[in-house]
Amino acid sequence: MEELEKFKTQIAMCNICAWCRIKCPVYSVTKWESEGPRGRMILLRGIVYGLLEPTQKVIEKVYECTSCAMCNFNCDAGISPLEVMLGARRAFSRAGVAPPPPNKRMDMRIARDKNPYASPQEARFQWLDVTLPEKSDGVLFVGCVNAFRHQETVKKAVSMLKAAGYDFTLLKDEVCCGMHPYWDGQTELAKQLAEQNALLFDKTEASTVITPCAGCYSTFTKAYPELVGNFGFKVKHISEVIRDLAKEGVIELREGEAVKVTYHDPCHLGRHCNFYDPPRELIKLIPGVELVEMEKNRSEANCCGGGGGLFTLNPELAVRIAERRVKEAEATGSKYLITVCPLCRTNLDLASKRLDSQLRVCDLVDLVASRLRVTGEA
Amino acid sequence: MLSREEIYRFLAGVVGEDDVSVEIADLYAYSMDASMRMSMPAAVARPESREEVAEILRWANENRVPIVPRGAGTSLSGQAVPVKGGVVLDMCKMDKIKEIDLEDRVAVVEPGVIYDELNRELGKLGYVFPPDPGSAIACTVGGMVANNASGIRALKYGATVDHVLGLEVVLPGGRIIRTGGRVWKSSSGLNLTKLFVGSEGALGVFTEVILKITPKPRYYGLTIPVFQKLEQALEATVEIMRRGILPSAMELLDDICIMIINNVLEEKLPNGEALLFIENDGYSEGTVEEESRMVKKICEEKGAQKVIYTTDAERIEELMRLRHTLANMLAKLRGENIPLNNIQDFAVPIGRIPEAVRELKATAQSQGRLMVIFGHIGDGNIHLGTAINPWKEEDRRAGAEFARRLAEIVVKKYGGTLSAEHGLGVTKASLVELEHGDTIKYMRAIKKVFDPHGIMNPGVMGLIEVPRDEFVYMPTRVVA
Ligand SMILES: Cc1cc2nc3c(=O)[nH]c(=O)nc-3n(C[C@H](O)[C@H](O)[C@H](O)COP(=O)(O)OP(=O)(O)OC[C@H]3O[C@@H](n4cnc5c(N)ncnc54)[C@H](O)[C@@H]3O)c2cc1C
Ligand code: SF4
Ligand code: SF4
Repeated sequence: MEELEKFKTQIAMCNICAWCRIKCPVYSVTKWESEGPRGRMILLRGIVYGLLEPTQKVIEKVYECTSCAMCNFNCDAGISPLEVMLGARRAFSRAGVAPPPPNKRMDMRIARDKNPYASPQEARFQWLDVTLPEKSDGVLFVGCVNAFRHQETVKKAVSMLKAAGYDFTLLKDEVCCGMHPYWDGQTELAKQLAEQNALLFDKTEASTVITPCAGCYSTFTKAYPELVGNFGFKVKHISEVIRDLAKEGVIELREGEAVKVTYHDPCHLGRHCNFYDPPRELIKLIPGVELVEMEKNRSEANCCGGGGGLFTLNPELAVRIAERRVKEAEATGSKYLITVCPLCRTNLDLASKRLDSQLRVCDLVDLVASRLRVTGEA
Repeated sequence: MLSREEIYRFLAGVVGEDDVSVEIADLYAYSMDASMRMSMPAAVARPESREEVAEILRWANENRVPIVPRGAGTSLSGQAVPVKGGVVLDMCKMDKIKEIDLEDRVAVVEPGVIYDELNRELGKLGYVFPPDPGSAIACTVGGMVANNASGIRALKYGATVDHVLGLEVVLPGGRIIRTGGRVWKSSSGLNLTKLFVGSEGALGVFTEVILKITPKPRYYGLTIPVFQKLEQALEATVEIMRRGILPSAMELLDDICIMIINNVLEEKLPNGEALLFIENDGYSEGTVEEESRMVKKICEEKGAQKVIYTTDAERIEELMRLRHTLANMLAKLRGENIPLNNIQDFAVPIGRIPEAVRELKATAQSQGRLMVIFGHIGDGNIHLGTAINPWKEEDRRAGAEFARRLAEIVVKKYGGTLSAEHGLGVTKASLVELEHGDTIKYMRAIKKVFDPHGIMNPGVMGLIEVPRDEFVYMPTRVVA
């Protein structure tokens, strides 16, 4: 496995010290050595030295990871367990022994339908009745989870930006950003999707891609430069755009119910892209809304459990991880748990319902939309 | 011999199917600890109570199944590696802090609690369990007790053994015994508590630990003298101790360590052949300042070219954190080689530190071997770091010979010990007779009293057999 050979030195350098394991969301819930980053390094050490066969069970352990990057922040040996994990997934994929069946099925659906929900591409924006210019400086890339699961939020985002006179368009034929196959190690598929989107962006002559999804954001910023070469677009998260519009007074926010909210840093925005402040700044601009931080926040924020393909491989485990985060949010005494990632939102919402929690999980766009002085219609 | 299926069925009946595994993927992940030695268990089980542990030990004793208790698997001498197979008991589910009693000044905990987590809770009340090993972030109290772990602050506050008041231990056969208790002192009978501390899982399984807790000092001062010569730093160490000062930590870093730490520090430390981190703590600012002043003066007398002093809590924490993790950062130097862990943890009498280090260093130099020198130098604990290529027979042989040579110098010439805190495990077991000579037979006799069939962590400390050398348990191919 040539691809894995590239990581041999990193794997051999692992001290087997367990620092990385301590805050790993998967290990913290299951407490099985094989399901944390150190165990994974041990398994990969076996494979890379030809001592252990990469059986399906072994490979599955390499996929029991949310790609939250917490391990990277806790390794002092100069290793990136996350990079090694991705390298291993790529190597196994290339060798045809991965991803595990649920992930493979999901990737095949994405290849066929350009979304993970087995819906036809036409259904992506059927529900959205809006006229936008063909060319503009900004492209709003909605992403699959929002387009197929959180349509009301998207409608509000579009209305808000339109009402604010923001120069943007939306691509009705956008395809999955490729995050799922990318983290599954299905690099070829991720590349095809990335190239398709990049071509669409080119046509609009835009300079900036705006997205309401943390996953799409990190895929554009971190993966696209590798997948499509010179991906020359500026990438913005929608929270940045709305924050700026609100600061300029173009979007006016009104006083409403005095309410405490807490904010969940999506791993793919926070640790992956060092993006922590804009959503917080936007929340603080809303009169009457008090932001209460969870004990673990910013680079220390615990994961929602949904990323890295874990939600596909083992949804039960993903929700157990989310339950921990919901409990942390409950401890702040907040009414709303605010997210800026539709995947985190879906997973945290499932967990909150399963826990019978009073806490309401809500996208920041929805919170802002509920406090607009004037609302436009899309 | 029981089949894997029989082992699985029994364990699943005790701990439940969710807490036992015989999957190769799991077994392989439990086949190593931080020593990088490897051997596969037949099964892993995660008991949740003393009763479950007792049932497993009763069965294991009857069926002669080896049992290896495991905390976080951070051991550096292979004592968490199941070298004779059998069942690994991962104690992760017994991780509760049962009680913190400030009137008795004790904490009662299950063995799987992580050291830093216990201290986070104690810290809220102004207390601490002080041994502070480098692996504090990850290691468990059970593992610390079984290794008699210690670390940076052992100089002033002692090793784990100095804080364990009592234990609940499950013995082979399933009998549950208690040793010691909540009293701070006792001269009643043989001290079995102290016997179990450092027993490396070879006598029984701890299911409860009663710890003495210590009030957290309120003030800290960190003195960092920088020396042009390593020897000056060592002489300063001896002199500080000779003059009756007792810092809370006195750590040595040689030039390579300084370079490694400086790579990640924004505010760099000055370069020199060596520096010391000398921490003084106390309950009054005056005492800390006074002691730090004396420390500074001694260091200057011994030739320190520069002495930095800080009371900035954040800076002290940053530097101490880096010191804690220094052993991890050394991975950058060894690449695909592995550390020669037989030489990592010597200790010599304090007064003999300069001579001993001089000779150890000269021995390495005479062989052209790159060797890093650091450690809890205040109490004579010297960490030496060198690496070998584990896949090359001649490298292994040369490593083994080098380790034996250094061990002879430390033990025979300077009256030192093979292990100050990491334990003998399986990697130092080949040298055990060098240090303990004939006395080892009394240790073996004690082992037999508690574990007549030798099921508890067989292989460690040379209690059953002395391995040929430290490379007996190198990674091997696993057939699914
Ligand atoms: C980077 C690094 C730095 C380190 N720094 C230090 C240091 O400064 N000082 C130091 O002393 N050590 C140090 N160590 C070594 C090691 O971390 C410690 O000795 C630690 O206490 C081991 O704890 P553990 O929970 O990992 O135990 P494990 O490694 O899992 O087990 C240790 C031993 O305890 C036994 N055991 C575990 N639980 C029980 C139980 N419930 N009942 C009976 N036996 C049990 C095991 O069988 C084994 O023999 C370091 C290790 C690393 C990787
Ligand atoms: S990326 Fe997150 S989930 Fe994956 S191993 Fe690292 S800490 Fe665990
Ligand atoms: S923290 Fe780094 S060195 Fe330690 S086990 Fe994890 S990957 Fe290995």
